[in-house]
Amino acid sequence: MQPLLKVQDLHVHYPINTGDWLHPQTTALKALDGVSFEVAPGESLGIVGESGCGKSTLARAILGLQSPTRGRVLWRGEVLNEMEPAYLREKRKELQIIFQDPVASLNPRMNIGEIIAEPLRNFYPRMAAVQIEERVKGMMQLVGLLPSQLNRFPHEFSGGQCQRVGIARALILNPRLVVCDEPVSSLDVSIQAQIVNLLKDLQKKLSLSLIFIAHDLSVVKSISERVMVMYLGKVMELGPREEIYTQPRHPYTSDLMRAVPVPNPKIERSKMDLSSYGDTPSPLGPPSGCVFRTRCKWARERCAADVPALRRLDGQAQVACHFAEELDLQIHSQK
Amino acid sequence: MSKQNILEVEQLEVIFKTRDGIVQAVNSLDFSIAAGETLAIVGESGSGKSQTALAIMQLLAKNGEAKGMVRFGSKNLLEMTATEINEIRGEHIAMIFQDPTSSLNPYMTIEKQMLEVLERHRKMSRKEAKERVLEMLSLVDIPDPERRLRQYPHEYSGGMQQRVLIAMGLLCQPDLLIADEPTTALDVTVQDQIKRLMRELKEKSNTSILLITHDLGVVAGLADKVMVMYAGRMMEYAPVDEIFYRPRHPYTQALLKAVPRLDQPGDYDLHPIPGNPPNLSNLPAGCPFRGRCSQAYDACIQMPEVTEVGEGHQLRCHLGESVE
Repeated sequence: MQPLLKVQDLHVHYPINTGDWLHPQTTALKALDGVSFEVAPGESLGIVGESGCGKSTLARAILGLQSPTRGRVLWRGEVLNEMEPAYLREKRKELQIIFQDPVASLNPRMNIGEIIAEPLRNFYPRMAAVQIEERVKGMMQLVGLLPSQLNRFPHEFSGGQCQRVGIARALILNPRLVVCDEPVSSLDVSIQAQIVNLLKDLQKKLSLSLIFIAHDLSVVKSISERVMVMYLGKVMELGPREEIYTQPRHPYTSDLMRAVPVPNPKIERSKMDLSSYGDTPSPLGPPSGCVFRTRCKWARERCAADVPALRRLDGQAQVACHFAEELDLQIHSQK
Repeated sequence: MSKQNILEVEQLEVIFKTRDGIVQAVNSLDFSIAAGETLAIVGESGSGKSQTALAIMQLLAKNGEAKGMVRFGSKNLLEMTATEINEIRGEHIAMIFQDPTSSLNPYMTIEKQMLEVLERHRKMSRKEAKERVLEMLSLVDIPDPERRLRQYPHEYSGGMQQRVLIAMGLLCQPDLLIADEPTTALDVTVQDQIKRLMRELKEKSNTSILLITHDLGVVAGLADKVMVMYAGRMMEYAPVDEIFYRPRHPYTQALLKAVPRLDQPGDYDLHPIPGNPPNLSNLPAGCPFRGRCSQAYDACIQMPEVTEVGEGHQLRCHLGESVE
């Protein structure tokens, strides 16, 4: 089956002024440095990484909001980053996004009905008002809002309800792929689970593809069939969740797993005896060779010299580590 | 536990006068912290956990008012004058906040900000003060502290800024450190560093910690006692292992189930709590959680009293002993 989205060797470099007025100098900040992956129709991919790993730049590049320095984004076989603006606009109907801050991403002066209808008005200016209202009400029902709340304003809603509005707005154009950029990070735990389950349901019902971006591995676990772990603009590990969560092969993945606090005092206390994690180096001057080596307790000489390629081991997962076969990565879950 | 309590809170009420009427953010709250002990207050937005911390330090917004008793030493903090409470703040009780970047002054070097604390509260010579500052910075694992001191906050990463704030809070060896969501704005691996630091602090010094957080995972690693709050009220209050291994309140149980867990590899399902968090200006009568509670019944129309269901284990629920 042809992949819906194909990202090939994507590089996004931002020029940063690192000199002073006397010695002007620009350094390239490599927000994305050779990222490749695919998303199949109806599939959900989780992208996980800490600040500075390039996950938000990647989201922008996929949506055509950021042009790559090198590499291509293929949308159903067509190169997205080389499309004519008018054609790209047409394609945008198929690609939608849900943002992190549900309240800030809604216009406070528009009522819920207007907010959800806006994409329709934008792309189908001739659509009859009755038809728009019908579509909006149907969508509100689908995301768990009462159609009678059509005339309410965002400030009358809680954060979780606002995120439902954001989801409804993203889905009203019947997109094929929805990029969710940390959609539950600012919500309470009890509401987080509601929204994640809603997205999961909708993905199945509408056979959507989802890209779910998060800063830790916990939320992604329940929604993503495949998981991609990023660090300083590079892919560290990419594979089916069954493999990633039971047997992480990259030292960074296992660090990320261990770092997520679990509501279990015995495990948490025992973690304190394990070694700590170092600081992330500046993305302006990433380490040579493997970018993770300065924080990796397994690092050897070769890691400073050669950049590890993303390669497949015995399972489905691909790992960017020279020594993945030899490492004994213990995570707390294997107690 | 025969240890002496350093902080005793009795019948704490916090109200806010707003245009839409009076909002009761904290309602008849009782708790205590013993010397060297860590109490975690857990709750979601609107539970009143942060307002409790702010009320203790007399830092409520202008339209806020705190009533009740906050006994620290022999005095009630709520009745202190501005001069009196200023002697307590920083010296006896220190506070760190969620966002380290906005807690530091961007125009001052780290050295100046840290020395300021000692100048204000201790009559130290400059040399002594600087030595103390350097000592604290190396305690919180800031590499090359001599050079780092001369830098400005923007030259520090988020995790390092939070470590500086912890160091700053500890300069005067306070009896109590109030940490309001100290790890929330940080990456997971950096969170881990901060947790370790607080854990070490607990083990090495006799500082008590009041930890305010929504993250049950953070609580599990640090707390001795836990208080779960909902809509301004205490729902459950117990030693940490009781809360996690024998939770009694339906809300605590539901909250523990809603957390996505990585310690159970094969389990991919999440269990949300239905409904939305309560609106404090329009609370229903009775138990504030009843609208979202799977075990609610007729009696929940009345506000449940707090009952003792085990040693040091308090519960606000009509079901009492019979919670499933």
